[in-house]
Amino acid sequence: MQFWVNQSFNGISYAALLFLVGGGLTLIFGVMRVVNIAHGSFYLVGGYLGVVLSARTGNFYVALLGAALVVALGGAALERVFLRAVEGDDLRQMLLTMGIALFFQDLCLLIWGGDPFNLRGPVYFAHSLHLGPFSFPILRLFMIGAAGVLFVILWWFQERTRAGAMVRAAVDNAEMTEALGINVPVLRMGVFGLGALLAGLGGVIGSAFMGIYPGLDFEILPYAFVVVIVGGMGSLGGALAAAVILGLLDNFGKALFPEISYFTLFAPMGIVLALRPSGLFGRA
Amino acid sequence: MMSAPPEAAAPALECEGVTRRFGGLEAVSKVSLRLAAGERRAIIGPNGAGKTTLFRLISGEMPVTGGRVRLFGRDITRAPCHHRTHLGLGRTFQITNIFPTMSVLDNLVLAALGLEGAKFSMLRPLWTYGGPRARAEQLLEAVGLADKRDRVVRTLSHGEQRQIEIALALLTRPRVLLLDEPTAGLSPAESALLTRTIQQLDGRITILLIEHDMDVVFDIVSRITVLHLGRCFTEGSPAEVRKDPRVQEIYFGAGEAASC
Amino acid sequence: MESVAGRAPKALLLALGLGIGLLALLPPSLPTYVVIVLTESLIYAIGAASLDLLLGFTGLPSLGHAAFFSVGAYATAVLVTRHQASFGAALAGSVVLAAGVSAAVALLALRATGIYFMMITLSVAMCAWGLAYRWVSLTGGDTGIVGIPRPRVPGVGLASGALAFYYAILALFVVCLTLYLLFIWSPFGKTLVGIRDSESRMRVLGFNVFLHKHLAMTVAGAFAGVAGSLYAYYNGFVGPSTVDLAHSMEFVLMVIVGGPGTLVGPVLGAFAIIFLEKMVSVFTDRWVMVLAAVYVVTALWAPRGILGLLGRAR
Repeated sequence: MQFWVNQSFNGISYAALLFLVGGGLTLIFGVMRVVNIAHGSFYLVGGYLGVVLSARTGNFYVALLGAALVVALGGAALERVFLRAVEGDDLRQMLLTMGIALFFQDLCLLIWGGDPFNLRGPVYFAHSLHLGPFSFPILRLFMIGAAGVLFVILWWFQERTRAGAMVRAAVDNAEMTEALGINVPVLRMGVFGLGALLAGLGGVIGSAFMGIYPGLDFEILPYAFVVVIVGGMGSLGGALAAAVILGLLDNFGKALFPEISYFTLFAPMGIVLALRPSGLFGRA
Repeated sequence: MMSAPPEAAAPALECEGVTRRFGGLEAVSKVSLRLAAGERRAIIGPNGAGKTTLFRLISGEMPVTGGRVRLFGRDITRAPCHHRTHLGLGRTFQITNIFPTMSVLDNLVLAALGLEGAKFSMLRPLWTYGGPRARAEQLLEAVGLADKRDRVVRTLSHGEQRQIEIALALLTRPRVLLLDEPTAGLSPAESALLTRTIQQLDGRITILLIEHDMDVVFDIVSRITVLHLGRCFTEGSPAEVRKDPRVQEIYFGAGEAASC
Repeated sequence: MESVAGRAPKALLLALGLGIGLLALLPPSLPTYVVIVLTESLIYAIGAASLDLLLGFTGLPSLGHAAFFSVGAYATAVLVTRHQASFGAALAGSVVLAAGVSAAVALLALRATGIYFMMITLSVAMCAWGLAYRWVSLTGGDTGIVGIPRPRVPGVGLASGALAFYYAILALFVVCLTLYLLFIWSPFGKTLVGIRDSESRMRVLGFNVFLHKHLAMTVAGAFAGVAGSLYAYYNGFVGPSTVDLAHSMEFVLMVIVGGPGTLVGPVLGAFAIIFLEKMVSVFTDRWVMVLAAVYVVTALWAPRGILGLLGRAR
């Protein structure tokens, strides 16, 4: 019994991280139709900046928000300067994001070297909450809480605000949205920045959870992509559902079948593509 | 002598209650029509009447949400697009849909490959296959573009491109041909030329034509179906439809008479 | 490029003949290091050209090509080091497996188009990397498979020296190039161009577009397997890095830098990127930054590659 509860809890906390990274990517895909290979870079840079800020200020939350904000602004700037020039051409956009990803990968290596870092969060992160025979690490609880809060905020933003309606409209029909006079370029910049923000938050939290090291940017990317494919392009709810499914599968997979545990990533993607190619919550 | 195959009695093309729904909107609603072999029929109707959607449903580019489509008695409602072509259905597009970067001859040779098994040949150059090229050359003559065979299609005039549009469809040896506004955007002279090309087509080919140009319609067809808001509105000979005040009404609005 | 129905332009064949002539005659007088770089370039040229069949000719932006390349590489590595397979057997095994995996992936990936297709093929490549990393009993995990000996190539003998190995690879390159040319000149090859230009038109002309695309991906996968097999011998070692994201994207870059849809372009692109890497690495550790710049510059200003720029300059 303990095994199942523990694994499920671990799976859900991992899902929180997956949601942060995948949620940002699904918005970028849905609204901008960009294959954003640099998404892992937002995570990586966010993680490193989080470590730096935390060391400087001694405050985890300042580091969290500060790093995420810097990454968000950086993302928006990248969109404005680079992506806008090749808007509409899928292949060129992808090449561009690949170049950006490689640039930041090497830059981080240059600045921070090859050794891994761990973000030391507040002291209580190392403690656990004890409920009967079960103990839940506070850090993991924080991850779940943070992702949950963000999901609610994002959902409220998308469903209840005008700006959110514009985002939804752009996901549905970018041309029409522009024809209605909505400033799509600014919208795109904003969405890209938002996606970067989420990934950056994921990076900081991730560096507290499992450390930050070179290569993580490309390591986290498949997870983000599969969350988007399984959940459906542009759907936040889908990203959440997919993150939960994948988080649980990955955890149980690693625990029960470590050798082919990557299949636990592959299999849901394959099944979804075979049965419902637009994803669980995606539009056909 | 065996009795005539059932195909001979069946209409060349039949739509039975064909419907296409998009969410709450029915773009095509229970449209039924039957074309006899060799018949020339036009579909007319104001914009938004569902004419091109109907063509897409017949050709298989879009699945129906209800009803049946039959080709010479054979149910093709679920058949994929390319399969219908093999069964004898041909189609031209309203917006010219040819291969822009290739030459005229190349366009036609590629089209001629559509029904050939040779299209799967991977290790023998195409120019060693005489059949498709010969058929392409033949059609090149028929549409009067033999002297432009090596011109890249993008550089041709709109009228010449519309001729190629029809030539491509003809290379699939259609028994039923769907022509979607063949004279769209053509000058009167080009229009007349294209009309003559259509008139000179083999009499055994059944033609279903979407057109807005009434002169072209009256020159080619023997029967007209009128669509309005996705439904069959009326059907009759050109003369009957021309005189029908209800038809004028759906085009020009109630209370206005128009000279035809 | 060439017209569908006409003959191949003599200029192209002449240029190719010249290029291959140079590649055949110069190496004995070149430093060994250059010969080695040429060998690697030829191998990647085969791989990049196989991607061009999809990306350039059919209009399928397949981003996971390193996956099929790696299946070929791992297959040869395993067959040679654990089963003492001959050159021919290992090559056949690589081709069959790579083509098989490609066919299976195509069944899923071709249900999508555009960027969704790009995403799926990219994800497949990334999952392949993960498999290479985790399926330790088969792939050796992070350590990979080492100690792949130089092959005994029929007609050449033991290709152990740099020069002997180079000529073996050159011979195979010429064979592949001939097959590639026959393929793109064949009726099937022309249907792929038609599909790239207008799928809807092709469907209505009676072509089973899905089938054609699927066959194209299978054929491209087979050739990627050839390149992968040769790479295993060249590198002596196969590991997860062979199938990582950067590697997959490098194939795409080679195709685009050279000029997609031209076959010769990707060959040039492979030589260009590999020589650039070797030369830059002499001066700086930051080759990745330079590569990043190549990506950005190509995306912004040369999306049709070197041949595209030359074409515009004419």
